[in-house]
Amino acid sequence: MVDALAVIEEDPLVVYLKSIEGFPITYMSRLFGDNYWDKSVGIQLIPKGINVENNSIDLFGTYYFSGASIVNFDGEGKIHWRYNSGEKNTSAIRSLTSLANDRKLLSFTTVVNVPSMDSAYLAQRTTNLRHHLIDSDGNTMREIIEAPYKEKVSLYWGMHEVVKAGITHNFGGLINDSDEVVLLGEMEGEEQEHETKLVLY
Amino acid sequence: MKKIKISTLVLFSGAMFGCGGSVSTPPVWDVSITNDQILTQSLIGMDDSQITRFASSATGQSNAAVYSWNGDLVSQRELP
Repeated sequence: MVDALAVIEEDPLVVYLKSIEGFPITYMSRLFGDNYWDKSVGIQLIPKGINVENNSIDLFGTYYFSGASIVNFDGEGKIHWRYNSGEKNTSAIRSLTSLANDRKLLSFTTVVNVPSMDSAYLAQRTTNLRHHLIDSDGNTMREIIEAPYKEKVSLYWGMHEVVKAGITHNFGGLINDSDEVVLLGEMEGEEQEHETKLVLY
Repeated sequence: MKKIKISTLVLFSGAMFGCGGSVSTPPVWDVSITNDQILTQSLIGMDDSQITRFASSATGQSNAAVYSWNGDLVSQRELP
């Protein structure tokens, strides 16, 4: 099964999971032509997509041991760097956006549940939409956490109460020459329905 | 001894909330835009001085708004 597809210099790139003795191992292959290669990326990387810029390939996904991850290859299949968010187990990758000046924006969500003091609810859940600004060598330039969305949740289906309005969805971002990042997001909350936020960091 | 306990508590709390010791960048400015039934929206950088936001509603209406990098609304118009 193919998990992600892209094109580099008119050759297809495919990412797939292969089960070896019960362990899912992620592979990426450049198909056809004289540049054929097949590379193991390792175990427990759940692929989300591939970005190709010039002769640079970014495979991104959720890595079991460290959360949101990027593996950077060149066109010959050599791995140059790996980037791991450090948010173990709780990360849900959203996107990897190529920005100007060879920057990348890795966006992912983390969810934290803590016991609630309110007897009607079991836990308070905080959803953080996070962005890591990364340079072309895979170094973190900046970390951004958008306004957290907090709610109380119970075991009963549909029973929840919004405690604090926050950003729940991101529609993209831009960067300028001063490495300032502007993000477009949607804010949810009891009184903030359908509110869009344009925020500069 | 008390200080050590507090430091440990702060570190533990930070780890629980996924901080991992990293420092998040605070926002410089934000603009609130109230819109009903937005279906899709996106950003495009015109040059290094302007930001354009495109939005389409579920009723089929689309508009474009241009902002400066200072957060000022420069112009906006409905799209045909």
